[in-house]
Amino acid sequence: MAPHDDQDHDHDHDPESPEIRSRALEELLIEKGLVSAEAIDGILSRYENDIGPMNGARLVARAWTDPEFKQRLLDDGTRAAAELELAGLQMDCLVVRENTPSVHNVVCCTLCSCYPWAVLGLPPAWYKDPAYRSRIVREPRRVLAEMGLELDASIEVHVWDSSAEVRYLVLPERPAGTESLSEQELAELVTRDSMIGVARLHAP
Amino acid sequence: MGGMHGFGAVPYEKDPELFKNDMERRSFALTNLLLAYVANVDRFRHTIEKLPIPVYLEGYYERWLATTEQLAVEEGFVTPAELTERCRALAAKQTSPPAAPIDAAPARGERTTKRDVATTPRFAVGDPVVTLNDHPHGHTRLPRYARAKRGVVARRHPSFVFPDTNADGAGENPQYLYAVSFSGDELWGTDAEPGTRIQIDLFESYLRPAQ
Repeated sequence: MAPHDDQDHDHDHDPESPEIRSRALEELLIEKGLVSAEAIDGILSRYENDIGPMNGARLVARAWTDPEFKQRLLDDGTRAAAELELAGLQMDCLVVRENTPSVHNVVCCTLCSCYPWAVLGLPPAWYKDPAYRSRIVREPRRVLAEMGLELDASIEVHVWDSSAEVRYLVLPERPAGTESLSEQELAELVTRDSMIGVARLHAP
Repeated sequence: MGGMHGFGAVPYEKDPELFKNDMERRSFALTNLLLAYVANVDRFRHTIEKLPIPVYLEGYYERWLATTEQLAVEEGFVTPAELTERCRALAAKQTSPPAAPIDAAPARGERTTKRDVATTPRFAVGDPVVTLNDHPHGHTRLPRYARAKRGVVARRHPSFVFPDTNADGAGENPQYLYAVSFSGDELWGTDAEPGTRIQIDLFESYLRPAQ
């Protein structure tokens, strides 16, 4: 592992600190042959480099430009994602919910932190925070407004609590003024937050 | 945690870092690699839920670490004494003799939780349903805020392992899963925000037909 930085200096002297405990567990599991340093580096590298919201953005851009793909995506998200070779952990069953002028979708997991890893990577810290988990189902409009998204009263808000193994992805509305953009350029517009449902997209 | 009060503002960041420090990286990696053996994500989640609340609230990857330590001990991969001794040595900056490799690698488990069932689904899209008012001590995926509430089946999902029994080794008991839609005021009463619906994925045994 990379050498610790100054912030961990105090933790290095405390045998009960999470920093020390994590190092102890890692060393013991490697010495016993249960995990390898290569496997640890491999899984970290995959999630730090290869797996992230750019995957979901490709699905969104394809759906915006190909109506038949969009219908397949809405009918069976898992199968449609597999067309783009997107599959993996936390993706036994992907359901895609489309935002429309009258319905805005937002996703959460009140019970823990369930999130569609294979298309969005790992969830941001705020998604896993007790404040989001407790409040988004109770007062979604207020929470979204605090996060910078004001929704007109005429728009219905649908909150999806990922309480089982189904994972949800929001298909944001395509912003006006993007008709001339290529699929690749469209994908670059799509943000993680828009696919969770806490933000909307605008033309560049 | 749905509906609990007192947690304040969402600590929103537009571009958060993936991991804040090396502890988080190790916790993430070791948990995932260990789950390849333990395989039962319901048992993992239930173990997190059984952490003392102050430990639970220490932080996200802190609770993964505590849970992975617990599971590693339960499975016999490490002993509490080994962990304590290695922590002591690391804190004192002493090197330790390496632990002996285990004799045989434990079997790796199946991670997917989809299962076929022989029964036909009890509910269809559009059916009005009411959730149970059970409050089990064990693991459940029926959130506290949605018990004894009336909703409508919005979507029928495939059938999956049932977490409530699988978490404690009482069997997979697979059953159909449904997205059930509840109006805001059904869940929260008269000061619910208007024009809101909450969809929750609920197992068939949590549901009864409503009139």
